[in-house]
Amino acid sequence: MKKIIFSISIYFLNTHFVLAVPINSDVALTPFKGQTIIRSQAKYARKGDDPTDKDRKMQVWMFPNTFVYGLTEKLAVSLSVPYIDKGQKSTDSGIRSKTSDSGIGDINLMSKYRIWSKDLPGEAIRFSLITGLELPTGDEKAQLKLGSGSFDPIAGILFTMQSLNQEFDIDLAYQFNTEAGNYEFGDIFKYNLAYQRRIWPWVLPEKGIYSQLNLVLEFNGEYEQKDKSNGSIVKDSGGQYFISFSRYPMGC
Amino acid sequence: MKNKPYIVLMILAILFLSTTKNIFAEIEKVEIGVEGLSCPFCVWGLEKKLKAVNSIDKISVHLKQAKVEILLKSNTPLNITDIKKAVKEAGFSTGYIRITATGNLIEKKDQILFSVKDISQEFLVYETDIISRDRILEILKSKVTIRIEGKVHEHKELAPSIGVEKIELVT
Repeated sequence: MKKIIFSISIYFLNTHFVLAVPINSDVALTPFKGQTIIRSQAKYARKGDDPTDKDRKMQVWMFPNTFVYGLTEKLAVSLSVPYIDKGQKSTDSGIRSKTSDSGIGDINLMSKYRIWSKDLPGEAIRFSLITGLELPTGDEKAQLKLGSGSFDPIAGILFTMQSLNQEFDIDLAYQFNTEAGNYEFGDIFKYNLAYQRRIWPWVLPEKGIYSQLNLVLEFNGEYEQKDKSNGSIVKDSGGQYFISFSRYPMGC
Repeated sequence: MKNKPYIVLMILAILFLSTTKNIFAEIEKVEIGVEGLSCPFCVWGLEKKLKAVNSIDKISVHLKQAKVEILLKSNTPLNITDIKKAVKEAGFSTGYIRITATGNLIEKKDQILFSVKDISQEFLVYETDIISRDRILEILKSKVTIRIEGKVHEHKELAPSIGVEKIELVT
């Protein structure tokens, strides 16, 4: 099935309001010790092109709210609570019908640890490891499943190279999905690349905090293994998705 | 009433002296080279951490030059450890700390130290391209007040040192 995703994100850095950084890619930068970041996102996904007679068309609205806290300048923990609204149209025995479900999805508990860094004047290079767990808080018994019903570990590595003019990020993560209620979602491998270029101000001010406008190009890929139901592979599941787009985020 | 202009001038002079910080006292300026500082959000985080340091009065971040200029509170010595800790907790590295201060050279236990006026904070002074050993001894002997600009370094079990980059006699 074809999948189209649109998203927007907003950050609250303690008292600062920011509309910035890549949307789907994570960065290797960590908050400073004691810093709290709240990230609110809105994501829209549409799935179509069902090859079966059911001609299923699904649309998903997702609103993840993420709270990040810097335990040290190297170690951060985060809690992500998504609200999901799913709707699906399908044809059964010639009758077109619509079903929908909404509620809290699976909560993510993550940690990010900076394993290597190089600081230069006006430039930061960072490598970080992420580990975490997706908790089965979403209703897996809902008709359009809002959660996996299983405890799913996540691990990954992040790279960021940031300078005064540009930023480059690589985000690789693997989610090991486990079985729950005789159903197992396929493992997911996410690979994201993001590039940002400052387009305003063209010349940096001599001192102080200033507003910044960046052009961001982001490439997001996702490979999902096939799901398993009662030990059998679910044919119409898994696959390769690419999402690529550009946009203009505003710094504070 | 002939003396009226003089009285007014005297009052103005007293007001000026009482409200203006004596620029030839204490540590006039501290400049910190911060590495890894590469975005406006980083500046905000660094400012927040440095503002929490007790001895700091004012902060001015120059992102383009990768440096922070700070003014210390009155009669407060420079605490290198606290500043380095704040920069580290903000997620960056301290490249250098440069000060501009006025004081005198003194001798203690066969070591020549730069004693900052009013706060008596002391820095070891060593020979550099800017100042020779003979010149250091000459200034020490003359007991003249000097104004020094240079990078400071911490040492274990020793006073911090200053690498003189600029020196002038204060008359």
